[in-house]
Amino acid sequence: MTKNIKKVAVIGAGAMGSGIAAQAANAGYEVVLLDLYPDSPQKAIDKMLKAKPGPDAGFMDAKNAKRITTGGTEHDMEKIADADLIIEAVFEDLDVKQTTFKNIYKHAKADAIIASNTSTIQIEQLTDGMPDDFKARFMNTHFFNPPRFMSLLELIDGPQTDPAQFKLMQDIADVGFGKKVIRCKDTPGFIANRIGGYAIFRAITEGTKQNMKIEDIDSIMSPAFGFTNMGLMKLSDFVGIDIMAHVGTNLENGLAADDHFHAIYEPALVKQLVDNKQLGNKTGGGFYRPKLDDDGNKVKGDNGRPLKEVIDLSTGEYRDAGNSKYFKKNFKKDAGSYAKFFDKPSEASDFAWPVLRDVIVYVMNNAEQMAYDVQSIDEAMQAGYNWKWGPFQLVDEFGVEWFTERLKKDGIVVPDLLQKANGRAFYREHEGTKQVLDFAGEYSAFKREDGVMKLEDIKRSKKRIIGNDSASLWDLGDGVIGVEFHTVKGANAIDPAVFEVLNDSIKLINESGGKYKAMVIYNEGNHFSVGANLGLIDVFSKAADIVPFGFLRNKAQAKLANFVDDLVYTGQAVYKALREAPFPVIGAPNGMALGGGCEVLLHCDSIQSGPEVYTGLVEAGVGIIPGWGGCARHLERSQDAAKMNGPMQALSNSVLAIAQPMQAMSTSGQNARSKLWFNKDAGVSMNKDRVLADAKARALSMVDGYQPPVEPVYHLPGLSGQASINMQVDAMYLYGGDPKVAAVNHVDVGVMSCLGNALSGGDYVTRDQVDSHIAGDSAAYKALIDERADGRIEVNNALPLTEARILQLERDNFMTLFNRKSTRDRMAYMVAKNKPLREAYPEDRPSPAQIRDEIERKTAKQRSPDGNPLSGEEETRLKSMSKLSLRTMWGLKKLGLI
Amino acid sequence: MTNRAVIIDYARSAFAKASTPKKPGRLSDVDPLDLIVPVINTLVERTNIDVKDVKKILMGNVHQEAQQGLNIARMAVLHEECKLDNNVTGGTSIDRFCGSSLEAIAMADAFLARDPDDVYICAGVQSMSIVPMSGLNPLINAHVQGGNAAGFMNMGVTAENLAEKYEITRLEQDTFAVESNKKTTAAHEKGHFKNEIVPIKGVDYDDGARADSSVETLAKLRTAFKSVDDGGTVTAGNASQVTDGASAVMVTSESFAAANNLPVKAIILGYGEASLAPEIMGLGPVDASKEALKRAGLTMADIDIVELNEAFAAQSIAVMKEFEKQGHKIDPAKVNLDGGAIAMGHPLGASGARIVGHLSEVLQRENKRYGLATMCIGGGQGVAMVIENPAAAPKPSV
Repeated sequence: MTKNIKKVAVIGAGAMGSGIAAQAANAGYEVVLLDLYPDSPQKAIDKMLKAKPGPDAGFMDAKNAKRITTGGTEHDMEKIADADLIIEAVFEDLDVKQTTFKNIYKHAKADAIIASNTSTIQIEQLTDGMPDDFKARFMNTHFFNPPRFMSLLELIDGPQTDPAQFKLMQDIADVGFGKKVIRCKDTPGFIANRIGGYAIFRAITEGTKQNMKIEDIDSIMSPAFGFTNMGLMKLSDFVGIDIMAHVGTNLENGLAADDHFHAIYEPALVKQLVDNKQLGNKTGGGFYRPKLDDDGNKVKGDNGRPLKEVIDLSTGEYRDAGNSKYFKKNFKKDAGSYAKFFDKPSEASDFAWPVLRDVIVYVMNNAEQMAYDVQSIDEAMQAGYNWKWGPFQLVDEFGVEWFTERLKKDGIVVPDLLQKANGRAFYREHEGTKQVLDFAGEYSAFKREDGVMKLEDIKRSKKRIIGNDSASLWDLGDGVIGVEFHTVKGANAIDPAVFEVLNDSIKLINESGGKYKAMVIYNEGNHFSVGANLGLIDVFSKAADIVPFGFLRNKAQAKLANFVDDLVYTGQAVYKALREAPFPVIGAPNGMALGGGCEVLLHCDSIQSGPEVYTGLVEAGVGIIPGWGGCARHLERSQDAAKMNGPMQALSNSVLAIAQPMQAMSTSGQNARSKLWFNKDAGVSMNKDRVLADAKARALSMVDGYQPPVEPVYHLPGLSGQASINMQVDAMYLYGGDPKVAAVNHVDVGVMSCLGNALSGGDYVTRDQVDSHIAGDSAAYKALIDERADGRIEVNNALPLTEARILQLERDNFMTLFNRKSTRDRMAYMVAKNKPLREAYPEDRPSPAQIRDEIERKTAKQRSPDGNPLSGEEETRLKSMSKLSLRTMWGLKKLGLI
Repeated sequence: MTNRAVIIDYARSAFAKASTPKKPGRLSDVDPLDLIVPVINTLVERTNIDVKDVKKILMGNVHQEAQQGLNIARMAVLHEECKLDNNVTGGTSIDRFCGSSLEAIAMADAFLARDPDDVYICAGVQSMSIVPMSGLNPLINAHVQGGNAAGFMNMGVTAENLAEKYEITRLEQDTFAVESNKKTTAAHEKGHFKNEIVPIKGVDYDDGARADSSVETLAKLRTAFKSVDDGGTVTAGNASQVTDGASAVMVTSESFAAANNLPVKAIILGYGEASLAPEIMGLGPVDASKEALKRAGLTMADIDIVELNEAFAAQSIAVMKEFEKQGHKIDPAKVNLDGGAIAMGHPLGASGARIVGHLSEVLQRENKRYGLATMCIGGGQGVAMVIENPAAAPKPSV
């Protein structure tokens, strides 16, 4: 949060205005939201609060809504008197806006920044007739919808805008609102909508000309060229056809007569859709729509999925949608290079080439008109349209020299910028830094906002300290070490090779003689980590299953079980060493941090989170329970947070969080803090590009006087607690319903029974467990056990249990569940389909007691990690496990299986 | 002639819906002791009893922990506002789940057979807002849970079991629930509860009862214990409500009442109890009632008014169907004239004293002679009590 300002006012409570207000509240500002209709702001807030996680959920945490006060523009304008920033988001009409500005000017304090969220009107028109001191504080802040999730903010200054005010707004938008701020020139459509609009209309025009199927257009204009999974047309349905039409009209009316947009703009189809109120997903149909029967019900196909219809470009009418033959095609890989793909005529290349070519040429010819440099054009398309590559990066992918020659061959005038590039790539790495061509054709440094720190840059300029294919260690400067996960496809699944790097890192810091003093765990993949590498376990599991001959197969299964036991133990030991290391460890997640990824974070001293973080212990979905200390850590947090005496509140909290992961998962970084996934003083950076720098600062702030956390003592109810948990689980199971929707089916009953066992402290403590499992006078407990005929004491909340006890129970129950076919099936399904298996009930539904009776209890080896990094025999085993997993992953990659 | 136990007076608090995460209950901020003490004081003042004669408070209460812990019956005597003498009156807390305070009256009956010169306050209290259903730390011995955990613990599932066994439709249950609501709201309008309700914090009505309840609105509710796909029928609308409340009955012997000029509301004729499979606990009233009637020397045909605790509509209907099957059909017109727990709520520990106390009121109002109060109990039990209105008994011929 930028300290300079405290209060933000937003005028206009439509989708944009209310979304901007919510994001301001997310940023921690005091917010006032006014509308012509005084009830509208509160209605908009309530709607955002009620929305399911997704685009309409404007608030990162429900409590942020309390920062907003509401009112009407007629009677409540005095509420903006102390606002430091006032954003206008009223109807896109010059008169309405000018009236609003006069009203704002009358009530705002003299140094308030005043901004418009217009997407169509230029500053000179907006401020016409306003006094100079208004013009000096005025600028355009063009947010993208939805303001919480779209990271782009186009910021436009007018001829009289005060540079100091502009700089302040840049900071507010970047650090406060968390946006990627791109300064644009004041031209129609600014950067992103001008290029995005051109691209969509160019594709429609070419598609119509070539009579392409829309399904094929979406499968070609897809990740194959850096566009989103949805493809261009489906994305339009998502954004709204009316928004697209609005972008088109704005460009048509605003751009100069000789602008190439006019040559490719054929709006008839889009206008037809708008006239028919087919505005995309929000109205139940746009380019695509669900197929309905005569009664208006959705028709489902053989696979149970709803069927779709799609506009036929030749007729403008809907027809049945089919699968595209280009679905998930990788044209570059199949042809050898983009150049080869484009140079060989085919339906796909004949369509893709003219569209992409014209987009790139259009951007190059107009770049200086709309932008201050090449970099900001590419970044605007990445942040505003989620393109993987901006137009200049795309040319680099194609090959600048080839592209230039191909233009010549096509008889197209080579743009000035391309001539200046003279065959050189627009981006290059030079002496450890990234550079980009400027408009003059010279390389200059790739710009980062002040204070932004990217691992990408560090990796370019420094050698990694240690690492393997799964994880690496980087020097972040000032004595802070960065651990990066980088396993397959940016998902960063955790495997033994990750553990090896973590273990080595702890040792390295410990042995560095003070050179290194803190650790940050961070990466720039799509997700912090999606959890344990199930693919690896699945491969081993299948390999053991196909062993011929019963005797050998049994041996293979025993070996597998042994491997899994070691894997679970090793994870616990490494995470525990991380937690108890004599230096601060900061987890710095962006995106998903699930299962084992969440468990890493639970062991960190503190968290510096990105804005959008989805975290939780989701293991139950694949039929297991958290095994890398997740149960122990969550129980500890629940115990600390419990408001009541007695063991059940903490236990119930942890059971609910782990047994119902979809409900318990966080919906943002702030929300993860509210839901106990993060420590209560965890930091959240609103801008994900600032997470690393903030995490490093947090780590350094904890170095002086750092004390590692001490092990908690657990008071858990044992068998009675399990009976109580089972009672609640049984009620859910007996409720029945559709297992695809319902929370609990017969497999879940088994999983939750094991979860209950682990979280309740288990059943009994035996004599040989006393030393490591009971946090009390060992001799006294042993003496008591010696008096007992059955040689054990029952667990209840009077018994102080150690963390080692919980870790042993995690492993015991993990092994029990891993031994079950239902668990292997769930894992295999997740690996194959990337979604959880929800089993249908068996014909004869077993009673919960029957289900529990059938569980064959397994135990893991009795051992307890000591909080030190692994050494000796344990370290040797870790290294061989790491080697095996690296070799296997390498093999799977070679085979094209991942 | 034996010296029988008699009911001298009865009072209660209003029953107010307990707090939900969204809405606070109207009595949710009242400590359970502050709920019951004014009710006991009212009995003491109204009867003008000499507190030196009050031997003991027998207090029904379920989940005796937190504010309900530490032997709440004795705590009530020690309450600074309690009119009883803590050097005289003792306290015993009784937990028999839903049957707790009916059991309290039965215990007084038994004590009085030995020492007829005592007076007992048979009370019940429950703050379901402060100590939720199953308690703050719901723990169950694993050996008790055994093979029928859900049948034992989850009352809603037991009601579904009965609905299935007796083929009771959702519509039948919802209709029963609407009737209960109409009867209770009508009784309030007619002032039938005026004599018994002691206003606390200004609350003098049972706020769960809805005059606008209809089969159509109830049909919209989600089933609570079993999905509709699986044949579920029990909803929050046709089950007893979760409420906060307190009730108390003053009990002594015929001889003590006569000697002290205390008018008798009702004479206790018989008490019965039953044990049965937990998963059909709702049928508890059947055998319990038969035993109570037998001990009273009566048959069902003699009974003029029935108070059948409405744990669930399905359960209440099942009890009546079972009686009919066994040849003891109960005329529905005689049952719960002023509605029941579906409308006014079921603060577990307080319900038993309410149904017996209120039965004594109704018998007097309607000038009827014999009444039966009965209720089912979680875990597979039932209790029942038969009482007589002496005013409606034929004058003994000389």
